[in-house]
Amino acid sequence: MALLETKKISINFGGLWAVKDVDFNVEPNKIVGLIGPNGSGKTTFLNIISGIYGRYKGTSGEVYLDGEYILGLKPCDVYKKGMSRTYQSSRLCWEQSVADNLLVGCYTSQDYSLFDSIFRPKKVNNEIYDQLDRALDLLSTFNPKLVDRRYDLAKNIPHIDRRRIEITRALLSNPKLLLLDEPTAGLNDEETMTMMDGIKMVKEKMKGSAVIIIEHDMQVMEKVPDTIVVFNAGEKIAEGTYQEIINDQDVIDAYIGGGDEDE
Amino acid sequence: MMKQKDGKVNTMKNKKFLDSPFAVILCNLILFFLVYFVVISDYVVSLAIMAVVILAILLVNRYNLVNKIFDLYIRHKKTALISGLILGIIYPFSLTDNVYVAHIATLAVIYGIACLGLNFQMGSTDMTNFAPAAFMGIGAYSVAIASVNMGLSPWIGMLGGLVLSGVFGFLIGLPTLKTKGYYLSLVTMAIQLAFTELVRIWPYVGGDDGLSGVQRYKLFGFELYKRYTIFGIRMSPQIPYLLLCIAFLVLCTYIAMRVYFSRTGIAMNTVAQDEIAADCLGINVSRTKLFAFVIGGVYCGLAGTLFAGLEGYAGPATYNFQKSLMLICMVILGGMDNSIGVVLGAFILAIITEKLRDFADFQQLIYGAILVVMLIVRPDGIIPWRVRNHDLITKRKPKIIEKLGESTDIAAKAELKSEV
Repeated sequence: MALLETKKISINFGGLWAVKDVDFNVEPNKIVGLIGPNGSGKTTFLNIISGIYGRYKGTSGEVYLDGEYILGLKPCDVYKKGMSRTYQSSRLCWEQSVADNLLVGCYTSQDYSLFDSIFRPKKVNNEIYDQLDRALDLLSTFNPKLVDRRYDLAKNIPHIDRRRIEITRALLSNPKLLLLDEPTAGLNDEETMTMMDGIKMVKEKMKGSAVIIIEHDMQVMEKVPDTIVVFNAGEKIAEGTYQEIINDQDVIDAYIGGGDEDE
Repeated sequence: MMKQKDGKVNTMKNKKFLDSPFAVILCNLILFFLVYFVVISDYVVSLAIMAVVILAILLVNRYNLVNKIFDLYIRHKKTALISGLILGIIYPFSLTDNVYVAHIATLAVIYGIACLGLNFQMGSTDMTNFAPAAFMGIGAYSVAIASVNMGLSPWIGMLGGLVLSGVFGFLIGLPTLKTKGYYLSLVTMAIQLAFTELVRIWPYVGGDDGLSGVQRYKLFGFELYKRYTIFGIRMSPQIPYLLLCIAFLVLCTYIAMRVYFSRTGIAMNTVAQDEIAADCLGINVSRTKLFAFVIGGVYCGLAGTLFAGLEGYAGPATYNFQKSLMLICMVILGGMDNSIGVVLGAFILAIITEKLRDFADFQQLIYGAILVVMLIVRPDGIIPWRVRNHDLITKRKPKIIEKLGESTDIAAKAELKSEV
């Protein structure tokens, strides 16, 4: 059974179909790449399935995560069902420390009531710190140096490390499905490659789960995803492996371009 | 320059002392005497002391000393709490027969509680609530109605006031969930103005005259608002009441700090900074905002019930828009999202307001000037929020550091330094 299944997903912003009739399946243990020109509805698609537009009245269709119907749930409930995401422009809390940013990712994995936090028995202290330990452990697989900077404010951390923190934060809930919206935006080629190595490494740790990744860099698209889905003007125009995609005439017209003219 | 050098030498010499429980006790003693002299002296001296203290804090903060003192307090939690409590008990008795001073001291403590409540909304969740005085009013009027109109014990009134202000907080919270930023503030402003108008025209609560003759609190038959003679010294009537208020303030500060360091506190900060990110990380944004409104409302309600007990009166002029502005000024002056800072702000402004009673016409001007100066010089307040240091609080170190080994640790640090 597919991990994520969408049927005829559409969203209409006052007459404009930002996404139209998209059927989309993601199998477990797979990385799916999402490409398409700017404004083709990639991010909007992620926003629908992660619940941000889930309750918007122009949204229609069906979304199933691991067999459960999730369209119309609040984003926080979708997250609890096992979907977490990152954003095109980083959404870390700038005025908070790295440790606190990571602990937000553990919010749902911590299990204590308000009374516990006020009386604060040893158990709560241990629980918080165990979570922080887990978070720092994961973070150190991306970059061990960040462990020492855990009490620095997020705004003082270099760009690539912010991305790493954000991905770590998304991973802390052990999601079944991870949505990465342009994780390499603003990184140079070398940084992009280290980032991708990190993502692959993490992917191996998460058994049975899947990743959807939006990316413009075709080099990355060649190496990382198992299958690629191409969006244009809100519709899915192609799906297949990298080789199939780059030879598809529709995709060449819409996105990749005809080679010579492009240069 | 010289001073800085001296300080460094001293810290080197006294490193052991500065890290011991005695340093905490010394700090508490200094704080005690500062508060004592500020409260007891006349306005010129007390304003001068406060100005010097504020300047000293701002100067010292350059060397990160305030943070170090905080860390010291966390490390020696028990010593700090016990010595603080002892001084807190001595403090009311040190004011002896000076009725006016005792009144000011009690007011300052009550405002401290209200500001802690407002801080949940303004500091932690970044929702500027312009109606804290309305919440105080609900608490005060509950006590007044219970004791004047119904003839019940004021404690029952207090309980009712806490419940009512919590419910009121929830109800205000509901419409504000749909609004953000300035619009949310406008809604709360409207609620504050509506509250003042409502109690003004409602005959049951005394209209313009308010309700006077509120019963004083009694504890086990022991009157909390009465002159007592201890060791042959006649005390002013507010002294036992001040003790009660201090007990509540300590309790409230304690709870506020615990909430700040819990996942709820982190969730509130996240909601303040990025609602969408918070929502996509499993934090129920509406519930977190409502929680801030309810707990803040209960705190302000408690302050109101204590206020009514102090003045023996609840009237519309006490809980108007200006009082709300004053509370907001206190939070901004003291420091957003730092319980100690907020209480400090409440103390400073409450004392300034009362000491400058003779110049009451200029009160609004003084608030305005303080706000403008603070927002320019130090927008976060005198003692702003601190990064939560989970290592210190839980007394643990991340396991990963051992795993990475000392060598990488040092190497990483060296590299970091070179980057800086």
